[in-house]
Amino acid sequence: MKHLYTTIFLCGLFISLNAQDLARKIPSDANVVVTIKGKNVLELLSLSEFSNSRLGKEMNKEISRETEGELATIEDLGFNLNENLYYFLQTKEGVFYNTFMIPMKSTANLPKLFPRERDEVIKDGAVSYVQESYGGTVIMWNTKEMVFVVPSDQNEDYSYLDYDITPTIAEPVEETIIEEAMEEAVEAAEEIEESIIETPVEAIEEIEETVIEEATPVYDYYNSEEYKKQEERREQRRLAREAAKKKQNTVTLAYAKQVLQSQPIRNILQNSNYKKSLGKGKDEAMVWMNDFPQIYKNAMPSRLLGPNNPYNFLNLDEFYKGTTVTARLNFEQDEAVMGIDYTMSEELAKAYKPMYEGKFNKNFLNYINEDKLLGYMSVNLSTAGILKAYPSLIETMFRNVDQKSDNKKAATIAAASSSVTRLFSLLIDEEGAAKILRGDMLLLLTDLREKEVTYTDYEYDEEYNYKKVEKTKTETVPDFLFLFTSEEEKMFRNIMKIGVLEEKVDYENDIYHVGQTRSNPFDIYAMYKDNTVFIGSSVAQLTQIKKGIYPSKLSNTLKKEISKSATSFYVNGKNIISEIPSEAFPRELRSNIDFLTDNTEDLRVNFSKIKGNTMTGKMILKTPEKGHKNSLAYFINIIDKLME
Amino acid sequence: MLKRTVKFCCLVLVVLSTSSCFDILEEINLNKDGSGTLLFTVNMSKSKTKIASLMLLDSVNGYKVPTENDIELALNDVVKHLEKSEGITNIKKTKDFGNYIFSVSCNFEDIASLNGITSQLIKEQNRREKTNFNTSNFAYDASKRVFERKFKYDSSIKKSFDYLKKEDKKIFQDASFTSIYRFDEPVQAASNSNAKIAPSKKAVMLRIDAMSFILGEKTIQNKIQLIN
Repeated sequence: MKHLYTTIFLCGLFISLNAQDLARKIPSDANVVVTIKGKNVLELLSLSEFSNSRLGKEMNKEISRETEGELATIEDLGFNLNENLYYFLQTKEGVFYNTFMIPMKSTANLPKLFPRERDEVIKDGAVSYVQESYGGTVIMWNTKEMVFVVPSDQNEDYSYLDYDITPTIAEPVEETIIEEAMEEAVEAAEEIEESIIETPVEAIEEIEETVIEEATPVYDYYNSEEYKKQEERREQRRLAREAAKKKQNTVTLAYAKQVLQSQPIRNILQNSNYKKSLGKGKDEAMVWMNDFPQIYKNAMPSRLLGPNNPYNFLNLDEFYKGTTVTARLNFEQDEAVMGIDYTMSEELAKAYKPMYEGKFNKNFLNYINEDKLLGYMSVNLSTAGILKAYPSLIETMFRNVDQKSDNKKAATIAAASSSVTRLFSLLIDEEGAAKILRGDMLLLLTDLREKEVTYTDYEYDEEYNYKKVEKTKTETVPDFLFLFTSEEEKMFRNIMKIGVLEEKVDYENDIYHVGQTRSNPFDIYAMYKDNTVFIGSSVAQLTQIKKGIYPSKLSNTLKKEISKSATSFYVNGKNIISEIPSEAFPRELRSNIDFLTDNTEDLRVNFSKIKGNTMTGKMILKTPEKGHKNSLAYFINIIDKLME
Repeated sequence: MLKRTVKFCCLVLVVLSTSSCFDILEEINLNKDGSGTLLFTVNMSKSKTKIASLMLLDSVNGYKVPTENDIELALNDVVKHLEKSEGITNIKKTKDFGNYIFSVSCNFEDIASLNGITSQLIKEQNRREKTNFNTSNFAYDASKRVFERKFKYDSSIKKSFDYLKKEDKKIFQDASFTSIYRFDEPVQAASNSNAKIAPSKKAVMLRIDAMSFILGEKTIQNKIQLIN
């Protein structure tokens, strides 16, 4: 049945759009809403194209298996291809209700999804439903729509004592059985003795041991009073749990009926946060998450967290109120784009903003060679901003704790934390610290190169006497370059000087070298130039930078993304696949390396600085145009290839 | 950040590294009276870059990576176990963290003492995992001049291997087991077809790859008949 649910949901990914009808059934206080805009999806990939893919065929096979051949294809399920699929999460009294809503063209075939006797389809007026008794999951439909509700009760309280334990203690062995076993063992041993010398003695010893162990009187725990009382308590808990589950199943059923048959007084389209996140409707899928503290509180009831419940001493409500995350997925011709908006409270935005106001060192762009580049990660923060914001963040986090908590420990922690951060703030010179580390950093994976390494092996003479010999082999190692801005050249050189004096660091041509050690498998080189500290694994690259002859090449897109983003991440898929030795791939992928090289492009992830109270992120996966109708078809084709 | 950078590169290296093999060497010098010396070596030198990288990471594939201290403690445990075993003397351990080669050697009074090192551990394993391994690994019949390396393949070996994640299975692809047995007297015959007898007839070497052993295609069992 679990497979069936998954299949129904996956099928739903390929149905189409007419936005607002079902959305009106979503209550305005839903915590999460996912929208799959079927029309947009089907414009990219038709249902028949999907059905002809391996994945589609597998799903058809699953439908046929689950319905014992009554239904054969996704189309047979009767989904209405002109409307939207929705998922939403609502939390009520510690229960998560995960609800899927699917518009239907025809519900005639739905009963065929439940051929087993235990999945009885019940008709209740205009609706029909099946409820799974263990988890309480409900599938309910009328003539136009189907809802699928999966409850998750966070109030359930299981103890490990509630699970069945099979008795494992051996039954006491009677005297006569021991004697018989001994006689048999001796006889068996005598028979074997002629051919093997050691075994019979061992066999006798082993049997004796076993027999002696079994004959030891055992405490009959399973007939003891203690056990009976424990069983009674367990039975009481089981009955209470069953009653609670039954009650919850009734509530879930009523919930499903309410979703299917009525509209909430206030629906999600009346929630201004949600409305703002809707965008232009060109996306294929959208995820909207609201009210983090509420989800967190419902997911982790305070009784589960006990004395360590952060709600007792942290002001998380204050901090995260009004936080929403919206993600939109778009499949374009040659790229799949996921846009993420993280909207925070005014207070949080005010605290975070200075952290992300870092200046970018434009010199960094001179040390990137896109032709060879495998990937990078850039961080553009402000050390001074972080050091200034940190005390006020802590202050906000613990504000009002004294008033709202009668927990002495929580009040003490709050007072101590505020004092320590205040002291930290008074002692530290934020601007001075920023001279050492300004906050802009760039890590580049510049190359994969072959390196010769030695290892110890043995050589045997003809008498199999052996001696240790040193052999060499080639390994592929990554080359990296790490840069950060620092005005403190003197401090850098002094630290290096200590290393040189301690003979841990070599110094040549103004480049410092830390050799490989047991705890560091890389040679690391470091130098200082133009307010920048360079640390890398290739002396050749550092020498080129020193002489100003480093071959730099970077597209305007990447230039803009590195310099304007708070955080930027890039992976050059094609370069990486072509550089990795084929032996490093899993065996089953080795025959597909050419396919992977042809079909792997760049991945870029960027997060902007905070604007207003929103931070915007974008994840872009480029896809090859050749051989794929669009980026959605690309994913289906890749899955097909991997399923081969 | 630098530490993280190095860790990140280690992770890349761990992913890229193709050589993650190890060799096990079991060497026994057997005297006429059944006493002798045992040397057991684990050589992971071929994978030293990978191991050094792994050891910089806290955990890989969901397993905690042992530190040098953990390895040191494990070796000490082996030595303590040998010290407690009857008829075992002159225990020595060597460790080379530069090349990741670790070995333990000892003298044994007779074959029963040699078997005593592992018999309890194997019994425990058989009881716990419902396996059926021999509780004694060696036998020596001084009158018939027969030395035997016992081994009974148990399907639990393959089951345990199948249970491993794909990445973890790679470790065994190029691993090997080598046994070298030396005698005072010449060897007449060895039952294992993969074993080689030295021209002097006083040593027998058997080398098998780990995968053949795991799959039960080759065995380390060997019955060596010495000339009477």
